[in-house]
Amino acid sequence: MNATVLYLGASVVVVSLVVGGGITLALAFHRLSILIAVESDSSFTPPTRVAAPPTEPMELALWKREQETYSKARMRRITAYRGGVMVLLWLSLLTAVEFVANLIGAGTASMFVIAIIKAAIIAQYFMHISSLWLEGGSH
Amino acid sequence: MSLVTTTNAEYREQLHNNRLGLWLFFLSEAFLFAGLLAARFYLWGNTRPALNQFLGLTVTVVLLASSFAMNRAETAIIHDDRDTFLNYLLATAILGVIFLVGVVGFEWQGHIRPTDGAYGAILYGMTGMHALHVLSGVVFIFIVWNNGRKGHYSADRHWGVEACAIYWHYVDLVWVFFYPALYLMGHVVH
Repeated sequence: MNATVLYLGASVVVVSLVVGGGITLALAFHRLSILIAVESDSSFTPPTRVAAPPTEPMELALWKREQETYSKARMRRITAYRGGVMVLLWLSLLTAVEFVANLIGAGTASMFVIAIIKAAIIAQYFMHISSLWLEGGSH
Repeated sequence: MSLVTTTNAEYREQLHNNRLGLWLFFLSEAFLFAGLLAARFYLWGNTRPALNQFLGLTVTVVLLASSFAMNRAETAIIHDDRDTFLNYLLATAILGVIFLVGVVGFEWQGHIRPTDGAYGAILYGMTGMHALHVLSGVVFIFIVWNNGRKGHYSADRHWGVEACAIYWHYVDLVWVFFYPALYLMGHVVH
């Protein structure tokens, strides 16, 4: 087996590990975050677990509202976490594309284009650059 | 920002000014890193030294993962999830240290020395300047983590966390350009 074939094979393995590893890491973080969010939801006091919902109308209405608020807040949090995972997946994919592009002899310009796309994703989704000119900001 | 309680309107205005100031700082830092990048292309041209590609890719993935962890930590404090915030902040710092070990502990022990002409000068100049920023970012993270542990941040007011997060993502953003410039672009000659 000559050196070129060996090198190409090793590169394919490395890229697969990077992409596979990135996806696995993202999924692991995702599962871990759901687990942590469920187990240590210290920011909210979940409604007192009762065997059955209260029967008194006023208490029942309050209980239902608390359940709904808790559920909505939890879904918002999970959706926000999921956004971060998607960004990580895209950045991993672009890094893999960049690495493969180098292997097949792509030019400097294409490397820069990929770098600029990655930079734009980081600037918008991680650094929230648009909060500079949008009303309200992030918090 | 003053520790004296401010109204929400005053806080929002201060927040906007803080963000603008931070981004202006990033603009000044951009000139520094752009200068190093320009020096790389001027001195190396369309060539590059033979660096450890696996190491380069590994440290890049580590830094991307650390950016994700920092984003998770910031998102957690926005949603008042304090435990997740503290845990992922620590994870970010650990991944940052792993990056430093990879660059300083392994790449700098390779065959290229700082005195190896243009190749050594640019390699150590670029990675060294970036590593200094990573190190200061790690220190910043530990300070924010300690403040977070004491309960200084909330969903409504966490400028310290936001500033730390944006600084860390900026460090990652710089590496997004430095990695291909050092490891991928040009023909291997040295």
